[in-house]
Amino acid sequence: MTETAGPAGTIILAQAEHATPAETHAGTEAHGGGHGGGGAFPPFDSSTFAGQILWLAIFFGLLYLLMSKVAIPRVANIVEGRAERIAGDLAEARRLRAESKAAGEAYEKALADARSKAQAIASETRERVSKEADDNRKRTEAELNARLEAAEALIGATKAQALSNVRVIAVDAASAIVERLAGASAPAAEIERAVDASLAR
Amino acid sequence: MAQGSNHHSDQNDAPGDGDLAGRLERLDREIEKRGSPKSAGADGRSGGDASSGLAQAFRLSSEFVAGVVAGGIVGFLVDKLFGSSPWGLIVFLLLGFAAGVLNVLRSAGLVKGPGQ
Amino acid sequence: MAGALDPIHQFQIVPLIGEGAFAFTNSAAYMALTVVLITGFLMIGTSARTLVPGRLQSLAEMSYEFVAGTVRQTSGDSGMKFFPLVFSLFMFVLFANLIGLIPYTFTVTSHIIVTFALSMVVMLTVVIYGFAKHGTHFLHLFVPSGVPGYILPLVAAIEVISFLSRPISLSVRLFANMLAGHITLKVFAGFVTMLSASLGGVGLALGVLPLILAIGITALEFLVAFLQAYVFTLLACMYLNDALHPGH
Repeated sequence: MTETAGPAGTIILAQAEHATPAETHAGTEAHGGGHGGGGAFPPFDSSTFAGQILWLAIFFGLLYLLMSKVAIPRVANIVEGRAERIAGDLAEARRLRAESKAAGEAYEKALADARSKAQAIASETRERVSKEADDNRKRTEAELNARLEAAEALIGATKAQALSNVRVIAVDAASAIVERLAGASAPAAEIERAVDASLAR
Repeated sequence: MAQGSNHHSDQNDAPGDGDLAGRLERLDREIEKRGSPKSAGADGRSGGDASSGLAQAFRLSSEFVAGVVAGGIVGFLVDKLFGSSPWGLIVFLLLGFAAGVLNVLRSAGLVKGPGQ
Repeated sequence: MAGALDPIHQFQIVPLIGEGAFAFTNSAAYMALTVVLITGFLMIGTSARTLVPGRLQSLAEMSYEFVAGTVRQTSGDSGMKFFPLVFSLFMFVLFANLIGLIPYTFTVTSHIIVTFALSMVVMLTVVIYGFAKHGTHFLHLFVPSGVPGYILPLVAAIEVISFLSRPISLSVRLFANMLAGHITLKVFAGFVTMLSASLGGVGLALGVLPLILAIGITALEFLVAFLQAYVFTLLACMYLNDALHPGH
């Protein structure tokens, strides 16, 4: 009994072991068969087509509605809003750049103006200074000339004065000499003529 | 930076001024690059171009088969309607073959698309 | 446990509420989650309305500007009337893709019927708007100019099939990428658990390799999730552009 029981038990065990995969196999078959198509490859199982199309139509339609009515306007709002903002900022930057360029040009112009003005002032000053110096010089020269002339006149006058004094003395002396030598006074006019003649010599 | 120093020697201005000129230059280039918002859109599009090469490869993979299958289906339906088996299938499979070749050539850009 | 290791199990659709074809399934629940997350993301992101955006706000703005840029690039300013649709599509696909990358979640876009329905939304918009705006002139889309009369029917037939292939191409591309990515991830992640479970310590050491791979693939999947959403959006824009300007 015990000897035969061993193999019998193993057979039963083996049968039990075999039974499990068989059962699962049958189970899957029943599972697949439950949805028709005779266990066909699921994506080609035409019995599920109608249901899938129905649910797809429902959910895709829902998605389309949600997208077109809610989601896309929201995203578009943000994206377009930003695009507008960026465009606005760019325009602002462009405007500011133009402004700064204009300011730079104005600055350059002012600088150039100032430079030419400074040059004008410098040349004017130079002219004025040189003219002043000229005037000064001329005035001094004139003054000196005047003084020179005055001195010359004075010298001339003094000389004439001296000469006339000499003449008077000479006439006096000559008349005295004539009187002493000739003992008689000569006419004054003749003596004067003679003195003048000798003075002129 | 090279631009900045360039301006230096050009304008012979104070260093702060040359820096300003350089920055203005940079701003100029930046604004020109940004340009209009349209060009920014073109930038975003270039990402699509990068993947369109792979997309092209994927397109080609099924165009030919689809042509033949479409021809086969039409042939099968014609045979069913007119009882002309198997001639409809044969003729339309041949046409489908031609359509498949056309599809491939078209998606490879060798033949112009319809209506172009 | 056998189901957890099965790479297909993650795509299984399970009813959560109700029974039958129109039961509220896990797929529907994840669609709802996607919508809630998108709306929450955008609403919270835009609630501050600051000029210099915070992290969430700049993400919200980035997604807006990314889609707006794509629309403008492909169909000009006149395409902006489709912007809500395109934006919804992009966000839905992107969020569904990204949610699916979180372990133990369901990927809405890994089901072809979902991606096909989304692409049909685009194509129906194109066709309806095209005919409403341009009438029969919209048909010029299928008649290239400068084609001799005798091969015109052939060319027009090819153009029509090419047009019909658009929703297929659009939906299959997204679906296939999501499906393949998730299966690959699951398989590699499965290797890790399988190796460590069956071989013990050695397996754990060996399991590091597929783990690294799985991490790498996850990173790649993030890229793919984004790119697929972008490709879907880009092509939707191009097709919508046809509705705006068909032929000349």
